[in-house]
Amino acid sequence: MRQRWIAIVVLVALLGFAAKLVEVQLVDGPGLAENARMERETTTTVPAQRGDILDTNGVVLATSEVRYTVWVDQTLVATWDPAKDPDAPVVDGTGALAAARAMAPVLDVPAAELGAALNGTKRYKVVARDVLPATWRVLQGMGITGLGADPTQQRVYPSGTTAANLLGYVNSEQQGAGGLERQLDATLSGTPGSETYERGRGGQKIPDAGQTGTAAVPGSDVTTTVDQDIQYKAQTEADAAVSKTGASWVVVVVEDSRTGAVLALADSGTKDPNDPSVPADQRGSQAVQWTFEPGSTGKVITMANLLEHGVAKPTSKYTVGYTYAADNGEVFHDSHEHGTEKLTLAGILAESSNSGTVQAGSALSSQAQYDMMRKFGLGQATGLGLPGESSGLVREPAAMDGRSRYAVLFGQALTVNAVQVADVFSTVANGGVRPPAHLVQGTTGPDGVYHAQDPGRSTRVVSQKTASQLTRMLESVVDGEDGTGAKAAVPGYRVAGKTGTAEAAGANGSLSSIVASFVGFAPADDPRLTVGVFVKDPKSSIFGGETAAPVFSKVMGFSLDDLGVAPSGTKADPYKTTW
Amino acid sequence: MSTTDGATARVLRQFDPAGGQERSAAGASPAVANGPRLRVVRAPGADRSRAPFALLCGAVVLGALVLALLLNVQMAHGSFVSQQLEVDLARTAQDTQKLQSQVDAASSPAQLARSARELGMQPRSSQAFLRLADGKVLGATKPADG
Repeated sequence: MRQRWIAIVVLVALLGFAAKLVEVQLVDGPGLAENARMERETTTTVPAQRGDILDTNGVVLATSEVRYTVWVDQTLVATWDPAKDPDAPVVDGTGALAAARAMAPVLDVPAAELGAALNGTKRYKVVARDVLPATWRVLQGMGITGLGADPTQQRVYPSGTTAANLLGYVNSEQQGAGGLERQLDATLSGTPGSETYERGRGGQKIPDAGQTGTAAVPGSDVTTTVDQDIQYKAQTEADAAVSKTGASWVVVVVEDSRTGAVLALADSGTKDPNDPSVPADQRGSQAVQWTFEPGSTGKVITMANLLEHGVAKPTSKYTVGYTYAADNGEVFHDSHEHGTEKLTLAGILAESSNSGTVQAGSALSSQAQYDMMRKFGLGQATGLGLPGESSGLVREPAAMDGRSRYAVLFGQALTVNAVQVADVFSTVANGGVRPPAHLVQGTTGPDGVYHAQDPGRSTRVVSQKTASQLTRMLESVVDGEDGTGAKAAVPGYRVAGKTGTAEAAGANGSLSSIVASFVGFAPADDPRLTVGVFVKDPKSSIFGGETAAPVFSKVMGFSLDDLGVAPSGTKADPYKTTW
Repeated sequence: MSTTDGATARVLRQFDPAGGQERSAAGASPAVANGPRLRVVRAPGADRSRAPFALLCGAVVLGALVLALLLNVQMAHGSFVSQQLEVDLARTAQDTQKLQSQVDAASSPAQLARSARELGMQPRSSQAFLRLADGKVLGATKPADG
């Protein structure tokens, strides 16, 4: 009898277990499994590798490197006991304190500060950013529970300050925030991917569980027209000129006269983009953003206009005084006092006479001068497309006052940027055809195929004959005995160019600032390169022939040498400057 | 079997050779002709055991299970090995990146100029060109300053 009762009790118990089993496995089962899976499953964004920026020879100017953002789960760190793990570093204590002591020498951060970051109850707290992969590997090897890292990218500029003003910089989300990084951001940043997988306690992927996701598409590499060596030389000479002349800044442009490819666009005082402490307002570029009055280099346009319209010849005779009164009564004078001189048109250009230029240029209508300035590209975008670039200002004839109408003849009452001035001289160098200025040569996609970028159209501005005559006139500036640009000479080569001294708007709006310049091209008989040097507020002298011409000589000499351009061995045959 | 054994035994006991011999005083054949008919009966207790077959089935099932287990273990092991290799690959890529970056920094013009100056080198002032067409030497060469 008792046996039977025991049997019934046991049976009931077994039935109860069976019912519970059915409930757990069949009723709640799928739901619980799903909860567990959701707890394991995680989706991460796979960042896309940002494209490199290269110079014209393929040298890397900007690249992205892997870094780690190290984080901790503070609740797990508290449970760490180094004594129990034979592989762990030997430190006193347990938990956050021990972890801080272990990690401090590796991260080069005081242990107390680290301890504060590790202590608490947060499940996710960032401890260090931009950690090198080698450093992370050391930390990983310590086996601290709750320590993890997410891979990120850091933008690195291996050349330091060279070309930094053009390259720009990226913000913390790896998006371009200035310069080429910003202009080409769409090309450089790829498309991020995603990855969904199940992970175990230590963060490792569970291999048998499914894994889905989309691959990241890396960004394209961009090949620029910049030549790293020429850019370096231009920047070095710009910095040297600032200390030598006491100028506020110096801008140097080096351009291929025939194609418009910008080989260098240099600022003095360029900061190192790898230094995160440099504030954003110091990462700009005067070479790109600055607009100024071109001054005497604008006389080249006036001369081109006179020659092109057949109004004058290089040997046309003029009697030039220190002052000249225009038809409307405005009086203009030269930079140096002098008596009445008998100058040819070439002589007026060589001596950079304002009064002579107004005298000769009065034969042109205001509209004709305006049209010629626009044909030369002034007042319009250069085509470089850099952020912050301004097109300058060229007023229409109707908007000009009595003085400005003549002042534009010698490069005042209008504003330009450095590349526009270089383009004017490249037009003369290139037989009267203005080449399209460009900074980007091509792109290489993730598939490794290089695509050259169309630089744009060239524009016929003046005839070949005008350009040749103008070139010969410009050689007198450097080669002639009265030339203002004697210091721009490059030994062995024929150089054509123009000095410039312009009054520019100062801080208070009045014409209290000075821009001294020298812009020219070489070799004059077969031009290859155009170089422009612009000096803001030099203290040692206001003349371009003194402050900018020596910089031109060094940069042009280096660039011709670097590119292996041979001199022709012929001598210049300048026009007569006097009659 | 025991009841049939007893029955067979009783049949055998009833078959009395002595009685048979008395009745067969006249001759042997009448004893055979008058006895019950004999049949060959299968030996009792010699039924084949089912155990070996069952054991074989069990062994097959067990073997299949063990094989499945081993395959799974191997797959999991393979996954971990592949994961480890991916980690090694990523590390090598990072090391390559770091070294490439060091090369780029060392070959930057600023660094080269610095290193060259430290070695006592001077920048070249100009170079001469030899025009092959007529053998003329163009450009001027000067000794470097310093």
